[in-house]
Amino acid sequence: VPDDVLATQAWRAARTGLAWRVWDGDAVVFNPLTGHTHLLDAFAAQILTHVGEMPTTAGAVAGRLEQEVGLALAPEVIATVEPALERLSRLGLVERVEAS
Amino acid sequence: VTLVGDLDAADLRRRLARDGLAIATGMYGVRMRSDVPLVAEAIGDHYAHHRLLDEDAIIDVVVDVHRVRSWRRPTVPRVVGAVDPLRTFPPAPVSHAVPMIETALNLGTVATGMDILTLHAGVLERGGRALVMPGQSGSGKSTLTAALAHQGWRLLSDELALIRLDDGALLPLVRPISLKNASIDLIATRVGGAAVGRRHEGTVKGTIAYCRPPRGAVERGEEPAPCGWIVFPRYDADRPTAITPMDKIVAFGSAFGQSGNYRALGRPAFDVLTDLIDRCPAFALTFKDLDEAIACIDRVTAAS
Repeated sequence: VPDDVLATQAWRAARTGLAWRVWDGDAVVFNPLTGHTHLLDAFAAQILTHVGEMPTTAGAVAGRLEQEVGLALAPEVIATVEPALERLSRLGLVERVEAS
Repeated sequence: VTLVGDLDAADLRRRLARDGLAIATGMYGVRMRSDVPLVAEAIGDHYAHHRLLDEDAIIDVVVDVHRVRSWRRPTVPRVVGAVDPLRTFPPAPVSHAVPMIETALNLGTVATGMDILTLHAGVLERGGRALVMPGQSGSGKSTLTAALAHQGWRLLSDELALIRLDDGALLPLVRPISLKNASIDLIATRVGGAAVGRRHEGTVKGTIAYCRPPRGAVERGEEPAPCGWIVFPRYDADRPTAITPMDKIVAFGSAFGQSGNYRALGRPAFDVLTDLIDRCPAFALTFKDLDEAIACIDRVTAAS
């Protein structure tokens, strides 16, 4: 992952005990804190999977995605990781934290 | 055991107008009260096979539709309905009294408990497995439900799929099937054995008539069934009839959209609905012809 996509923002999974079900890569996620159920496409579901409990940057998440697929991701794909994390944050599924 | 159909018309009217008529609709005990002759006639017809409950039976839903006179137009009789004393329907023409009491029964059933997920769906059973057909009004689900209920399938419910949170079983709610507009004549003329009652015109959904549930379905009204298949019907006169498998994520979203109490139930609703989608194949059915649609359903339910 190129350095220029390693954002200073970091993210971690929402600590609310999300419930999941994955079908063909797509996921349905229940957030007990809000009572909302979210349908996620495969890309968003993968990103959510790779955001752990420890603060993680978008670049690190992209790196984990690359490891999983065994290929280098195209820059335009990597560039969509941060916006996807922001969308997941707005849904309350990940939290924004200060990167150390 | 006394059935509603055993009562003579005068006795039925008297009971309805006084303490109300208590009957078993599947797992639910309901008490209906009304002083509207049209309602008495409809209940005598639509619920002929339902059994009366004992005096001390547990009643889950109480509904009331009675005549009122407006001070603005005192010569025009109107009716008002209530699911309980706190939830009432606004005054409507007397011709709407029967749809009003059926709607009140639906609302009352949805409100009965916190251990059941409800979907707006028709439900039938064959070979021990339930076919769930979620859909909005106008999707053709009641037309399909009425036809299938007279062609080898057991009717569990027309309007509401009641999914038990404990085990995902579909609970019966055997009540009249609500037919609208063109589907009334379609079922009355093309489905053998279908008993379609009086037409109620000018409602918000157009003309409504009710099809009496088959006797066998009423008699087995306390037998739940596990879900076997989910079919999302959509009537479309401009497209050829076709049934196609649905992605599970799409099926979940579509079923979720037809639930009246998913949000209120929280995590247990998520668990039971995802389990249902996991276990059961789901299909999208677009149809313009009833016989073709039934053939499609027979084909996919026989194969899976």
